[in-house]
Amino acid sequence: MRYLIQLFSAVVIALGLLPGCEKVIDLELRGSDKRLVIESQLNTEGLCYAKLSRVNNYDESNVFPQISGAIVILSDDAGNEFLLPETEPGLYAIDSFPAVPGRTYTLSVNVEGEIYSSSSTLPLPVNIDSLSIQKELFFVDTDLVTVCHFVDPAEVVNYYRYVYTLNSITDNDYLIESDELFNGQAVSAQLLNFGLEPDPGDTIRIDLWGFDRAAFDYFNTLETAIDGASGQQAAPANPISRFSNGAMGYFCAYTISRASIVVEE
Amino acid sequence: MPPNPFSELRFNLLIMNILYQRLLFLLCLFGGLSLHAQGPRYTISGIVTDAASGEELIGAIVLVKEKSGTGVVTNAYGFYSLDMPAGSYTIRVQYTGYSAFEKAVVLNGSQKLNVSLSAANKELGEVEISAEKPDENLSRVTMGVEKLTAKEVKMIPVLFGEADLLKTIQLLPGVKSAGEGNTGFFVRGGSADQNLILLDEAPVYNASHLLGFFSVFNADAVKEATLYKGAMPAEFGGRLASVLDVKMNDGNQKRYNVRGGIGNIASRLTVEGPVVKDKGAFMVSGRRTYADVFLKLSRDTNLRKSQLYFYDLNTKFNYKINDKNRIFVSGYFGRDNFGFADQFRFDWGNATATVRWNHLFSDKLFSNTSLIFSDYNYRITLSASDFDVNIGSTIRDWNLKQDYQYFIRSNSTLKFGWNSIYHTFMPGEIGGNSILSALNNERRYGWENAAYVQHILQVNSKLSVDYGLRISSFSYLGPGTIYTYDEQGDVASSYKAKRGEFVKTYFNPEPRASLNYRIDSLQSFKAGYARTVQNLHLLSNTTSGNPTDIWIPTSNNVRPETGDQISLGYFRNLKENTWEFSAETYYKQMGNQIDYRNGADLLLNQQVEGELVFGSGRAYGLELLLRKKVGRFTGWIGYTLARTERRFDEVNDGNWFPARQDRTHDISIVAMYELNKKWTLAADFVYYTGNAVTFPSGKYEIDGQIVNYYSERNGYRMPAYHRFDISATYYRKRTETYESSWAFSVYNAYGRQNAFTISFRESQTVPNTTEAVQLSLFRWVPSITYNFHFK
Repeated sequence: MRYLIQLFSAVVIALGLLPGCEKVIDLELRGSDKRLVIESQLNTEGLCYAKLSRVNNYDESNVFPQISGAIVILSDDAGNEFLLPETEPGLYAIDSFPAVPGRTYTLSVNVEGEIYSSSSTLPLPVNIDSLSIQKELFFVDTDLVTVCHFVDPAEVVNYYRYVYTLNSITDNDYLIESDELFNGQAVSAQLLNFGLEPDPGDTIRIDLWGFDRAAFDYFNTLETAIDGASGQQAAPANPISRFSNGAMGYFCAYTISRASIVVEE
Repeated sequence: MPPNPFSELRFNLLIMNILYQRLLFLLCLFGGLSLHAQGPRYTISGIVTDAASGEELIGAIVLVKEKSGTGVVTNAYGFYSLDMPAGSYTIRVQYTGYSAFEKAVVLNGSQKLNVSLSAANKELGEVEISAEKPDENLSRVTMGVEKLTAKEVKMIPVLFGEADLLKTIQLLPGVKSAGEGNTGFFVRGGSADQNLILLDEAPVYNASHLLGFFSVFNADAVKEATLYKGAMPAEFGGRLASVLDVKMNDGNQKRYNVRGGIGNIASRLTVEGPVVKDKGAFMVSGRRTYADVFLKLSRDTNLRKSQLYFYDLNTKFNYKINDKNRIFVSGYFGRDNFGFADQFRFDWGNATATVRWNHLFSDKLFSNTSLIFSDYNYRITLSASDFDVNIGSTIRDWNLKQDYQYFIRSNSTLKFGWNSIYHTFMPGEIGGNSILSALNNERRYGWENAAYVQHILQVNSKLSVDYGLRISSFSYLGPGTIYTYDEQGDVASSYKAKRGEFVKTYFNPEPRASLNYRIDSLQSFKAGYARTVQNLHLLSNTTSGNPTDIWIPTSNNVRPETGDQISLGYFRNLKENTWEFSAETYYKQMGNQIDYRNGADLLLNQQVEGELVFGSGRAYGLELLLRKKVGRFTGWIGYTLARTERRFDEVNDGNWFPARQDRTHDISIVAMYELNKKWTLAADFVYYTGNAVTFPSGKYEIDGQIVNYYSERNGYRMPAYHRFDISATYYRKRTETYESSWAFSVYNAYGRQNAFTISFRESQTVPNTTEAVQLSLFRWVPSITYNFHFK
């Protein structure tokens, strides 16, 4: 819906009704506190990492301070503990981590004596049955729409993310949804990508992620925050972080299922 | 187990009834205080009308020359009633812009005196000579009241040259624009939904067209508008901040009139005339924009098939059955249409209808009964090859309103009445073959009741008071699923309420009082207090407001919003009442204000109440106004110094923060000048401190993307806004039967680039940095309109 309204505004502006004029301006922005930022994922393919960095002032460069020398510990509710060694500055990782669906993992980060922690429950996996390609008339053009088929488990609330890759280019939009509209059904999710439109012969890969409510809330508010930079939102805010001690970012344990399809002539 | 709905209904009615009778009793007690004069007393009453059209004049002053300080003002239907001891008097009736009327009467029995006033046919340069200059601003008891006539509205230059009531009231102190070219407005720190906008008594839920750049009020169909921004009288209620009471033209009872205009954005046509001469009249007025006509010229088939326009239709009919009974029927219908090819349609609009019956029970007791309907809805239709969905949302009211005015004495008037509104909320109705239909939202129902009494008393030649009490109630009714929420906003429990079940009822007393102390003939001091309550809440989380913003009722989770305002004012007239000066100051506290959780999803969300957080607000300020109302040169200078803050436990660590509409300084200068018989010039200048806004103080990287870091809510300011507009009107022809003119205007004449939005993005010139980008709209927007009037 939000996109419909944006589209509407965009068309009104495009029709020349609102002759807009853009310019880059100098704004005096106050500096901000140098909060810790944690980006951490683990998945059923064995991926397991935590990236530590800090917030920069808005007028500083996009090169962010990496945090070295932290102690990063991953534990689960079965009593196991893993130390994530620093593999490069600011990156702490384990290769081929044996993630177990159903377990709750807790990431604990110790930076100069301050502890930041967050938990994430890895749900039971949901696998893609197949992909198909549909032709769809959407506004002016006929677009190719990728359809992802899978069956949603009925017993639990599921949260999904679809990651779309065309050949080797991955779209990092947060295409997420809950099973509110299709709980327990066979799903045919239509994934239209305006930015990365396929041509015949291209390969499309879809990664289906499954994660818990906390991760869903984070990705949802992260997407709102990224949109909020457009100046249209009345009250842009930081995404909901579940880390203790005021760290920004997220820790997400997710199941992953991948499928590819080649677009036919 | 929910209580039996019918017993609760009876209980509520009973309570309402008892409260109402108590109120009446109390007020009659006050009203009766002065009922002990000697000798016989008689009443002189009647209707004051415009001689040319037969339309009633609202707010005309009826004076008794022999008794200074004795006078009344005509009500919304042009009716007045004066009570005096037997004797001989000279009655004088005056109204700004009209020649005064005087008549000697011998009062030895109650009598009717209907008065027709002629518009002052003043030659240019002629100075109005009058023994008593109007000084209504000094004598009126309530403060924070601003009145605008359609004539003034049409003179002032605005965007696209389309005369607009809502843009004109934004030039008054204490009223702030919601943004560049926008018709949304904020009054004394209130938000846009805290203004009650009435069109012939019917609430208009979305008063804007086309993203807010136009209002629904076609200047040709409007007679006048009154804005109450302070201690509003007890007869009004339902919103916290203000009442904008817009009256449609009644129609000419004497002869047919056709008037209209052709502009570069829209055209208008109005026809009015007698139904039965001097007995009844009708008025029909329409307006349509035609930006989309140009789309038809496009080579692109899809663009050719696209639509983008709005229209308004106003109609009114009135008929005087006899001296005691009169009926008015008025209606409004307006719609915005936006369509893209065959695949996307988006349309929205208001419909209102009012049937009113004026009845004189006696020459002292005036009654008006209104049946009012109001509806706002939007529809979105999307279709693709295997996909078809339509989404709709509606708010609909049925409203029965009864008002009485009892003219006890020339110095004492009692107003009382009641009002009952049945609201239906349809937040999201989804049709078509799409999985979205599962998002269908349940309808919600509300029943809003109020009773009031108000007494206006001139205690002596110096002191007058206007005080009263309004008691309002709101009942959240079944059927529907009733939820409760936990602290995170997740559903904690739910049950199905039955049809007609009273899920939750709130009662609120709303005392109101105003006082006017007339220091001398040129100065007065006023004070006022008002408590206001609001039971309908608009949910909107964008800066400019959208047609899809939804209204929700007070419920078991959302409590009524409350406001308490005290205000003080000093009023002084200069140069024989040709200049008016006022200084008003106010302090306002607001309770149960609404904000949203981070990432709140307001659209098509059945559990939208879980996305809300509740807090309080405060606002205070000083408003200065210097205004010249008569002569070749008219206009005003207004200045507002103000602060508006909000506090929510969940926002900004629970600290007070400036509301978006918080602007420290706001200056408006408006000038109109009649150069000669042919040319009239007008100009306005606006300057205000930028809105409070949330900007990032820092940034960080997540998933390879740069994300803004916000350290506080509304901790920054948009750049200051200023703008100068000019207009010129050339009267080509002005005769008894025909008038035509050309109106030229330039909006933002010096081309200031005012910030509409400021956005943040990765720099397009310096790699690895970010930049702030300002979007400005409207610079040097010229417009030209041709107006005609066959009289």
